Order: sequence, then C-alpha cells, then structure tokens
Amino acid sequence: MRMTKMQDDALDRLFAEAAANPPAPSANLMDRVLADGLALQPAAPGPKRVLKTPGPGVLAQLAAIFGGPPALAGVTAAALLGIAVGYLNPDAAESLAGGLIASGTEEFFPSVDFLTTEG
Amino acid sequence: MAFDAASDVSDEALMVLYANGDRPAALALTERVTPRVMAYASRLLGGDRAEAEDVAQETMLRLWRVAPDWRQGETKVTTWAYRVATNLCIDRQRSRRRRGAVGLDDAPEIPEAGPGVEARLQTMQRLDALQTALQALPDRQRQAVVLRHIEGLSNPEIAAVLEIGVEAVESLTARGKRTLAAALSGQREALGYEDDQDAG
Repeated sequence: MRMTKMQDDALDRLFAEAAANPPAPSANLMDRVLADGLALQPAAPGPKRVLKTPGPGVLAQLAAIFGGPPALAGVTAAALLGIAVGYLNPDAAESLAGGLIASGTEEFFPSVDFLTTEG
Repeated sequence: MAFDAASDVSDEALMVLYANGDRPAALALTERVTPRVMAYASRLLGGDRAEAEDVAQETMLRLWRVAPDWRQGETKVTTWAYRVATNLCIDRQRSRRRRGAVGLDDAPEIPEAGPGVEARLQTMQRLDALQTALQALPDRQRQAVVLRHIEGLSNPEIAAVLEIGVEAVESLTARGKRTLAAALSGQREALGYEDDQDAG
C-alpha cells in the first residue's frame, strides 16, 4: 500500500496542526509537579568553612627579628663558625679577634694574702 | 537566577543545578518538560487527559528522584522523560485491556462563539480524526509516529526512547504513516483535504 504524494502532504499538514495545538497541562498539574520537585530537592550546599590559617611559627618570628630568613641564616652561620674556631684553635680565634679576646689569664682579683698577714 | 524557556541553559545543566538546591531550576524544568510529557502521554492514551496528567506527574516525580545521580552527557532529559512516559503509558494500556475498559476521550472543548470559531471547530475535528486513527495503530507504531511527526524527535532520539535500532524506528514510522493515510483517506473532504486525483 503506497501513499500518494498528496496523501503524504495532507498527513504532514495534519501532523503540523497537531504539533501546533498540543493538549495543555492544567495549572493544577503544573503546581503539583513543582511542589513535588521542591519537596524532593536536595538542600543547597552551605558556605564552606574557612579554616583559620596558623600564625607564623617560632622560627619565622625569630627570623623576623633578625631581618628575615636570609639574615637569620647568616647570623647562625657566623655563630657556628665562631664556636668551631674557638673550640678547635683558640690561638686562631685570638688573632682573628685582633687581640680583643684575652688569651692569657688575668688576675682580676689580686691576692688577698696581705689581708691575712700581720705586719 | 531565573530560567525561562528561552534561556541558554540546557535541560541537563538545569538538572545539575536542581540537584544542588537551585530552586529556579526546579521551576524551569517543570515548565519545560511537563507540557511535552503530558501532550505525548495524551496522544498515546487516546486523548485521556486525566490519565495523561497522572503519567506526566509520575514521570516528573521520577525525574526529581534521579536528579542527584544525573550525569551530564549520558542522555538528554527529554529522551529520558519520553522513555519513562512511554513505559508508564504501556502499563496503563495493558491494565485497561485486562480490565476490558475502554478509554474515554475527554468531552471535546467547545470553543466560545466568536470570530474564528468555525475554523477552530474544523481544527478540532481534524485533530480528533487524527487521534482516532492513531489509536487504531499498534502501540509501537503509534509511539514512533507521535515522537517523529508530532513531537519532532529525530530517528536516533526515538531509537533511544524506545530502546530499539534506528532502522526499526524508520520501519515503524513508515508503516504507521501508511496506515494513517489509509484510515484518513475516506475523510478527506470532511477534513478539508483536496481531492486525490493521483492513484498509486
């Protein structure tokens, strides 16, 4: 059974008319569908909690006192060098210090024997 | 943010927004999808508006429930909705047949008197004749013809809805159209068709 072109065209026009005149949903249906949708809708995610960022550590605070991490590193290196030199070669330390470091012993407290001897 | 039918936001994106608690997305999906599903169900169920609305509400209920698991890019919302509505209509038709019930069309809407009422009556008469002819088709042919020629889906989309191959869709729509043309040919004059002078 073959369709004629006229039958085909007439049917296409009828289809177009049906598409242009769909049965409309009632307002009651639309309200019910929306009510269902809102009742079943997941809750919106809440605002993200912002974790308090930790403050600077002890080392960072110490570095700030000396003018920053590079300065603190320099001070530390110098201190370690001084300790090493003083421990390993005290004479070198004296010469490096330009005689400011006392290498010999000095009597800061002279003998107090005279206080204990008569005459 | 308000979404209307002209918005560029896709139905699939609206599903994701809905699942994330966006209330305007619920309204937009209701307005976009419900009328289409209702009209489709009505045509499958012989114009029974009450049953069609039940199918539409049930389809949308399932859509809301699946939203949290919706993955963009897998399927279109309308394809999914048409598939669910098709299956719900099949269930109702089987139930009717078991009960021996005859589907009753709603009482025809009587247009108000006024200019254009005659044209409106003729339109209603033609659409009623089409609906009657659609009801005489086998279920699968009716589904394919309605989806293709009234709902405007492509053959691959129809294949996804009906879960069959594209060639099967083409066969169903071709046979359905031929049957409809034959059923309506005797009513050409009443429906306002021109006389068919070409045979075969």
